[in-house]
Amino acid sequence: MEFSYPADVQEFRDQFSGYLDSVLTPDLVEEIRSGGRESAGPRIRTFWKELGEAGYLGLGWPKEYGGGGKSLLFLHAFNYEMNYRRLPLPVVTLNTVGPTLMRVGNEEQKKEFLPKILRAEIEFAIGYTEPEAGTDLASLATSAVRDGDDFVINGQKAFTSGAQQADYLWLAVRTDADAPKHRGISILIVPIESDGIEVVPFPTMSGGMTTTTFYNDVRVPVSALVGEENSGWKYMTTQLDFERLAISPVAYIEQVYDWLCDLFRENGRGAADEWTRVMLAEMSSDLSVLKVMDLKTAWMVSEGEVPVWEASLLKVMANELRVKLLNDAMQMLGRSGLGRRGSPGTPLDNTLGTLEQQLRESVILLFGGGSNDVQRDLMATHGLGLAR
Amino acid sequence: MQFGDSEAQKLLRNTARSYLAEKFPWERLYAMERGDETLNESDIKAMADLGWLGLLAPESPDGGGLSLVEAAVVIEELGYAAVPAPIAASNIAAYLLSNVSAAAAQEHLASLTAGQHLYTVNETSRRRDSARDNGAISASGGTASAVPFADSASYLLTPASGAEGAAAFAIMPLEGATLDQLQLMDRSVYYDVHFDTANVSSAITLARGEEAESLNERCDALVTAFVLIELVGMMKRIMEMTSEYISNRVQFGLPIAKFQAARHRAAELLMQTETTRESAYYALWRFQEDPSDTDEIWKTKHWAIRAAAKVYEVVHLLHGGVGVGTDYPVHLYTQGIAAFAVRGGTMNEMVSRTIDSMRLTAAR
Repeated sequence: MEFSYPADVQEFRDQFSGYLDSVLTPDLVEEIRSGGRESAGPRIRTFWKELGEAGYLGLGWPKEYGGGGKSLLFLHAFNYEMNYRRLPLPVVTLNTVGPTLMRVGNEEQKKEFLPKILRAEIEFAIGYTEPEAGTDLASLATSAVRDGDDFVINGQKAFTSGAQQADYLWLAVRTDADAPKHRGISILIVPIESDGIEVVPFPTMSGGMTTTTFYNDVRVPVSALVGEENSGWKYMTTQLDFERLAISPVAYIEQVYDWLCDLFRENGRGAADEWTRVMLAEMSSDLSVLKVMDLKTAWMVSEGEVPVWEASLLKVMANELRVKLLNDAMQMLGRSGLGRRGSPGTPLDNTLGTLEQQLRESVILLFGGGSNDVQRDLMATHGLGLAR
Repeated sequence: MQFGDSEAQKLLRNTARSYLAEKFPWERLYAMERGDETLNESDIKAMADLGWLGLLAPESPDGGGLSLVEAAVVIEELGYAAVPAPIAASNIAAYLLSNVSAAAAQEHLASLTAGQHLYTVNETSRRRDSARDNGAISASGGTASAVPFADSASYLLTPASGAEGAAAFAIMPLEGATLDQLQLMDRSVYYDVHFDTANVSSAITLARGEEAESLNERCDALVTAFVLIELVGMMKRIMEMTSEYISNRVQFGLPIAKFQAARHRAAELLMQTETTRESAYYALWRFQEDPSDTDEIWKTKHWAIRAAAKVYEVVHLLHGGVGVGTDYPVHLYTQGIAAFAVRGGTMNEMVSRTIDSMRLTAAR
């Protein structure tokens, strides 16, 4: 057994951390601070392009697709460092659409999209959820009907995050209305500028933005189809597995914990509070456990295994402990913890996001990427082998 | 014993519920949350006309003459409707003024009940927050941190330090003071208020020494008790909204309320809300019967902080994406619940007060 990063991964992480210190200019920091993590301004886009040119975005991608061909532990180190600093990243495009396309896309699609994804030139938004198809995702009803060499799309998607700035939609559509619900779904790559698409902003309490998207006789050529027709459900679950791994919030937790410890090292009065001391000790213990489980999951992926219930376990525990940590941190800080960005005396008003903003944001991951109760169900089925 | 509402409370509750529902539809509350709209003068005047500013003032002059648990019904309904209003602050001021021996208090009480001036209170100066100086006021000026509705109010009731640091309880005119607006999680209306020497010179000391200390203690306790009451209003409403949502939201061909996981989560909401609500009224009643009996208030806040965190999480888990939209009411409640868990004293204070109340000996 060996529980730490291999030497070359640790070396990379230290080097990458130094690189980030050197490129985070005050202007870029201010754009991240003021714009939130869900809307990328020009400086953030330039930052991503630089990350791409320096080879960081494609670290874990195979060399044949222009990547670094490194083990996925490098990707873990990269994501952890980015998340610890709460820097925005086109995660969905880079870590989920890209790898899925590598596996199931045709040669033309790979040639067209993968290099551009690696250079951060294009972004995708995922169009899965619908108003009536949330947890029961396979009941989605947005239809794509063959008409000559085209598909004609009609329907509505909810929570199409990033569509306000994306170039393409990775769209799940029903192509066979008569098949059992999991077997009539396909994935299409749809340019966002296509006629008949309407993108309506859906502002959220995190301060960020998602969208509702409407499709009215939208035409795309049949070449927009990803993989085989009516095999979309398989591709969606592959994509969701990648997404679940990419959005582990352990680094966010460690960042808040470190910040609190630093604060109370400097602030003797706060450090003397009994409850604060007990809760910090609890957080310290929680965090150690989460970091071990996070590494285990990353290791499994790097060994080519698919962590099904392990990924669920990490997702549920990390996100629930994150909400608890933020609630506790607000109790430790009292009124100042309630301050929004720009309010006098508000702590953490930088790229990291104020405590209250992090709390508003943290609830999204209780259901985002698959509701925690569904994850518990998965653990019972796949981890314990219980009958459904 | 009488756990439910009395006839007088039922009447007050019905009036409050229908008035607030009519005047504060969701769209208006969203606009207030975005900062596009505020509670305006006519709202405050209407609430004054309803008698809400002086529910706790004696019937003469023109007060409501209500007991604490009776007046609490209006505060709970404000939480239920998610309407931020200076009713708690004004009634704490009325309660304190009614319990001051100084003659000047009578004049102010008359002005408060007539709705001529709005009065607010200093909620935080004596709070034991970990990482921040909550400010203090002395003869040379000072800051009152996080004062509710300082922009609309004319007077602030506040602890102060008199000569040589002795305890005092004062009423400060807000005219001429410098206000810094705070932007808080739930967009409630709070200001840091800075006083200079000139402001302080126009203050009136209402009590000194032991009398001041007793008023300060009662102010702290009542602030926390009313925070609890408003919080349980929010918890009750969000519990009802969540039950309704899961009963109507269909997935896998069934309302999600049919799934055991969702039912158990919803039952958690019931447990947390019901326990916090009954305990909050019980604590307030104990204080009403004997103002030195504050232990239950601190213990209930200790409970409520933990309950609020559970409610916050369950509500969002059951609502999914719909619950985080800013054009949907859930966020008004969850942001409010998270903020009220901090307001009125945090966990360190409640732990230390609760431990004090247990009178444990230190010897091992």
